[in-house]
Amino acid sequence: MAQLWKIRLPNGKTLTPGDWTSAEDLYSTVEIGTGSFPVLTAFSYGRGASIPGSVAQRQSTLADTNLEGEGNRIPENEELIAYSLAIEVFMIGTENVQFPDAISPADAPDVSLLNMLRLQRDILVITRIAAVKEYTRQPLGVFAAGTGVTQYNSAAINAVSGDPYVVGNNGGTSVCDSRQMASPLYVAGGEGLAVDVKPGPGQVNNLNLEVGSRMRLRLFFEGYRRRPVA
Amino acid sequence: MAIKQIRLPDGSEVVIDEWLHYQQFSTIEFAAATAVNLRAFTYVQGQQIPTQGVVPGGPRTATESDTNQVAKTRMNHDEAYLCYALTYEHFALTNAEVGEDPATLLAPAPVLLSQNLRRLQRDLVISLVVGANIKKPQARFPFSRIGQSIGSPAFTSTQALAVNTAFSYGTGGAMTASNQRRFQLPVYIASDRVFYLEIRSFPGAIADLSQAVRMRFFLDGLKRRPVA
Repeated sequence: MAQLWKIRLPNGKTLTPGDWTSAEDLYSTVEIGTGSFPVLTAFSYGRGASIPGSVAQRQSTLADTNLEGEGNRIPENEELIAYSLAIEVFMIGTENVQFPDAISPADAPDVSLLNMLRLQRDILVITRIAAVKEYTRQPLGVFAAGTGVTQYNSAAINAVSGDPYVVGNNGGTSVCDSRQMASPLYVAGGEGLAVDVKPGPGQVNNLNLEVGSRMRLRLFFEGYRRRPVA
Repeated sequence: MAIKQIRLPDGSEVVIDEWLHYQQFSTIEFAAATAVNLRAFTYVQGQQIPTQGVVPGGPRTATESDTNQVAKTRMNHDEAYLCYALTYEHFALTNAEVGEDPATLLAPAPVLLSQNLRRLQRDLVISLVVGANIKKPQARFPFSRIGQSIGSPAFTSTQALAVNTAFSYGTGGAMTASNQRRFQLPVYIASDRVFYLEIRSFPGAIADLSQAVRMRFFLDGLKRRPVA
């Protein structure tokens, strides 16, 4: 393999070169529909594999994950020091038109405030490292996205129904709105890594979605990544 | 020719540099219903702006407002760059409307509809590539992860603006200078080094995008300039 692992210096010492970057988060996607589900696990698959919870087992692209390999672990030639876990939410499809909420949703991919609150109320986020310990077990809202769109509206309407709407977001939309951990999470090369998205009640109660529509959750580990030196 | 080094009478050498905080910017344009795959920083003033799909007026020739690059797809030979952040601003090239006879205006160009910005955030992936034939990007994010620190906030009235107008405008986070994700480890672009910013929609055409869009991307950081 044409990759630098170690360099032996003339004095006998060895150096292990590494390319550490803070400019490429590690991210993964899962998709939630209506009805019960036990758990959906992010980072459990590599790029090109199907996305947990997606319609017709949609094949992931770089827009869904940048984890390479078989998933459930960091590649052996990478490391991760994560200072933040941020989760953003998109609606894919539409809300249920037969049984609409009292307040109309915005057009996809915006998430209605009602659905966002339902997700934040019922979803737990469980980070597992090395398969022996949990490092997070908190509700979704703890892991603020720090992404999204700040809207400025004046009598804005839903393009589908022509109704006014109320949009939610998983926390603030600005970069500084994601929560930073006081102690970072370290994942060694080859070590197990997975994040379970689990509904405490067994489902997201009253989630308003049309059949075949989904809530897409994209999870980001932000911090330092060591990547291979070619 | 720039002065880079001065040899003193005692034989020692002094390297002269001027580093300053300087934003490097470049523009792309694309239409709705296109699978975006464009590269910014690949042209200079007077050349065609990277464009995909049919945009109003067709492909444009770049002006001073579109880019301050002085070399195509590379850092100039007597310059270098330390990139600490990426950011952007957006301008719609067409109106966002819904319905017919009469249509309801959602966002008049250059206002980008908030849902359209969210669609871009969902599908685009931005990669800063440094070096010829290098596959590993030095920075790569889904577009949503790049905060927008340049642009205008809006302060709206609470009532409809006009008949058949339902206004909505969006920005990528709050409009403050701090709303950009700063790299703790900066990306170094050496003199004469090939670099570009790839803007690509991996799912293909951006679903439901209803406006043609102009985007101006910025590298924010320190630039080494020649000392003349």
